[in-house]
Amino acid sequence: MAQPCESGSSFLRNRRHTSPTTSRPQPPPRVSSQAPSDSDDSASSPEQIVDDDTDFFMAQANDSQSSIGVTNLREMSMSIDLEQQHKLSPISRLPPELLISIFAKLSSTADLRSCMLVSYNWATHCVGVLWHRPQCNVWKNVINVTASLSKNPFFPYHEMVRRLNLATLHDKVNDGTIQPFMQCKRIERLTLTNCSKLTDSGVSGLVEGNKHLQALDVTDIRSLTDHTLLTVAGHCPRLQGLNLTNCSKITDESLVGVAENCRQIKRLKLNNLPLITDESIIAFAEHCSSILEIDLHSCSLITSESVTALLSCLYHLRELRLAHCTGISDNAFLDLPPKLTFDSLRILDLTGCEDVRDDAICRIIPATPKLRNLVLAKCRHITDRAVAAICRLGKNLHYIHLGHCINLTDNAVIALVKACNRIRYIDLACCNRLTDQSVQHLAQLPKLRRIGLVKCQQLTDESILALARGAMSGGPPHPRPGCLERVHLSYCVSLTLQGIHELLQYCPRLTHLSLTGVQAFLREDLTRFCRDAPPEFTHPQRDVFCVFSGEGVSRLRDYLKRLAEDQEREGRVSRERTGIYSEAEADSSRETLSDDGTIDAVEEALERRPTTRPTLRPRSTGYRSYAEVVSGSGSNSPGLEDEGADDDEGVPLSQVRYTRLSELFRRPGGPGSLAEHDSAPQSRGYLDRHVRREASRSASEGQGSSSRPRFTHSEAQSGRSRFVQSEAPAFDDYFQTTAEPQNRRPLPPRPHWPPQAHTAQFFDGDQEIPASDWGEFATPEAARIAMGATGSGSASGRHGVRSREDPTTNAVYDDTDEDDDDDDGETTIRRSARVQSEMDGEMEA
Amino acid sequence: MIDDLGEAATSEPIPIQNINEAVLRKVIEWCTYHKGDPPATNDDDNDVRKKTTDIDEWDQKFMQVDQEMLFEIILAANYLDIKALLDVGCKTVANMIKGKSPEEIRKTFNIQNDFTPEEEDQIRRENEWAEDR
Repeated sequence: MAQPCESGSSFLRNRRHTSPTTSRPQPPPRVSSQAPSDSDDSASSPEQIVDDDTDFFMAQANDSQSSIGVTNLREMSMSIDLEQQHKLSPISRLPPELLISIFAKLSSTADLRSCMLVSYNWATHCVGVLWHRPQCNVWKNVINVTASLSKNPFFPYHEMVRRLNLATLHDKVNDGTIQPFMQCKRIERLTLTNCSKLTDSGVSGLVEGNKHLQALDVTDIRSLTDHTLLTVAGHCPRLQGLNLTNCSKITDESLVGVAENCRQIKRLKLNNLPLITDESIIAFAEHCSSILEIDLHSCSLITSESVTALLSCLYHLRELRLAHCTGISDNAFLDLPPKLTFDSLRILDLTGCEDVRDDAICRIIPATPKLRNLVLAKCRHITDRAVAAICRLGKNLHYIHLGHCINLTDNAVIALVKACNRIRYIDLACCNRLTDQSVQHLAQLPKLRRIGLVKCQQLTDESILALARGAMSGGPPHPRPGCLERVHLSYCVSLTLQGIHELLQYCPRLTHLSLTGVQAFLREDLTRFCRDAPPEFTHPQRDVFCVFSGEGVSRLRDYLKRLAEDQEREGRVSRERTGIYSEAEADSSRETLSDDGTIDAVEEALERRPTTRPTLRPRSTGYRSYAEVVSGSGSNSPGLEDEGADDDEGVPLSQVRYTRLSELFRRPGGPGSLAEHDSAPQSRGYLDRHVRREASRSASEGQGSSSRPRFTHSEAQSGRSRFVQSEAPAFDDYFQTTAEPQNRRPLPPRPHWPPQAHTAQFFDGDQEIPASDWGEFATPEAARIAMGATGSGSASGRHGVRSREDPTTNAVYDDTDEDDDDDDGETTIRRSARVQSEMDGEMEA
Repeated sequence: MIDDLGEAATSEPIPIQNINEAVLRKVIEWCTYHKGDPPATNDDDNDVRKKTTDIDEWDQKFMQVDQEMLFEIILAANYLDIKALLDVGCKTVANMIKGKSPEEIRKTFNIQNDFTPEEEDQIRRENEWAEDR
């Protein structure tokens, strides 16, 4: 094969050099005559040639081609007998547009790059696809891309760039970085979200001359002034989407210019622009009649007049978001021309517009018959009368947020459920007047996916059982598993394991369950399934944080199920052994609650010498975590004694026993509950985390962990020994020990633990928990994001929320998602589900 | 297409000169199997770089033909404006490209490398950024 290879390669070179291309457009200036500068690159070239020509068919092709005697190999591929070429390489039959649609299917730029290197023909068709959106997610890529743009490139890449997104490198990108991109004049989508180092000169340089620009996202480029926006107004007549969130220097001067010149605008995000007034908004209303979505979140100078203008002029308006536009009052809606209806409006967000009251709602709702999402969170003056108006939306209403509408009563909720039975998402956080009756009705909503009941403190297990049962209420013809996916029950302080256990069993799709501040769940054995509290949380916040999501939900489900099974079995065994279940025994153990850290530590100790402790009950029949520490008896373990001395309540730790599961389920609060801790809540958070991490680690290590020495005596004597030792044993450990229970001593009674009282003390006052409403979730921001953009990014906490919106989707302003008439709105919901899952957790935090 | 032709469609034969019998049979086989499919959503048009791997099992089997037939089917689908079939065809080819080196791609489709080493090197350098997946 050496011979043809040799001749083949020399053929290639000779042809190339002797006869220049004539019939085909010459590629732009090349540097092909220069020696390759990168030595490592040149290494691949010889190999390339050898590979080429060892191919049997290729060698043949060369033969036939040379016999035809065409002048240039590339030209040859055009003029050669097509039939023959098609036979040899069937893909050559495809016309360029089909080749391009194949390239467009390749999701990886690496594959596209490989295609670029296949042949000249492929490169010419592939390059446009590859450079459509240069990948600028890594710094070295940006360097490479800008270098390729700058110096005499093989292809005119700058003409091919349609989308430019520098958001992932937002902290590095500056005006100098983007200089080379200024020659790209065919950019359609420009996403510079959070690129806070950019200034007017950089951004306006990019924008200038880009008459094809359709979407511009300059979120958080706070130094931007009217200069950039005037450039936009002057150069970008086709602009459809504009996101100016947090560009706080922008004033009416430039915005009016944009409104007058960019008349195709469809999506407008003007969040947090403190200087803009009704003048801008009214200009947009007058000039940009195709606006579909407008978001004026926290534009504090905006008044009712803007809202009236937007609604009256914008016939196509689908989405009107006015969260925290505190200047808006009832007049925004009362001043609307009578008889005008807003059939296109799907989303209305009035979060925190406190001056919007029943009258406004009663006026606007009948005029927006197809409203699908309504957010009235923190419109705290609205009453059942507003909800009665909302009921008129009937099946069109899918999403409603009434959090902090504290006047609402059960009657409102019951009416809402009856009228709007397609609700998928409902939030009633902090609606303190609601009782179990509300939830029992809500549970009947057949499509309910997400329910928020944070701080509805009157709710009991009755509510949760109703939700669980409701999940199965499809009836015999259409039995269906529960479709609940996200349930928020933080600060519903009366809940117990029993209800949640049922809920988990009946709702297989549950992916998020928040129980922050619910005492019954603040136990080591349960919180180890919960996810970590956000880093910005303070200790008291961490102490009560309890959110299960994803895998955590499944593990909690399995765990509670096993507990329940064990309980059942235990009940049977117990009855067999003693004849009848001893109520006295149950009572005594119910009253002797211990702090969870201690319990687990005791457990550890027990685990190390199970045979020496005849009082152990079999793990398979009891719930080990509820090992109880009882004062008075002699100690078997020095470690345990130290442990006891460390206990908050000064109870010497000497005796261990297990509580029946039945008691756990009966008790409103578990022994690990916070109430026992409130003497020193500050100290608990970190250690708690530590314990939890340890627990999950040991759980993942499985059975092997039981043989690992968990703590030493000296550790036990240190100040934090209680916590260190309280590392929960591996999940499986709970079910391994088989020591038979022999004699259980009755426990000395302790004062009954009053969970409600503690609750009031600890959770009631917002002042006790710094961020006053951190326990609530799905605030307006959540709602906004859930409806609009998809989430990504790493920002956390309340302030990060807006930046979580994916800049790329923000910038996707093409108007193809008209799913209005999709009766079920499944797509919208699905699209927002992922975001929601991220959001809820975040907001809850 | 039938609609475009109006009444003539029902009375006169439609010439399909550039599709041979074997290919047309395959196309009809595909259409028969998929006639009950729900209409495609618009989503596909939105993202240029849509995932390529998701071809349903039947279609994968259907597309297990020699390259000549494969590209004939694609051409026929394009000519007859059967978007879903065209889509499956393009995805199939894209999957044949995925993960391969340029040389492997050339071998797969029997394509001649007509770059000079210098050209190849320049393109390689200028598109280095694309190497990050």
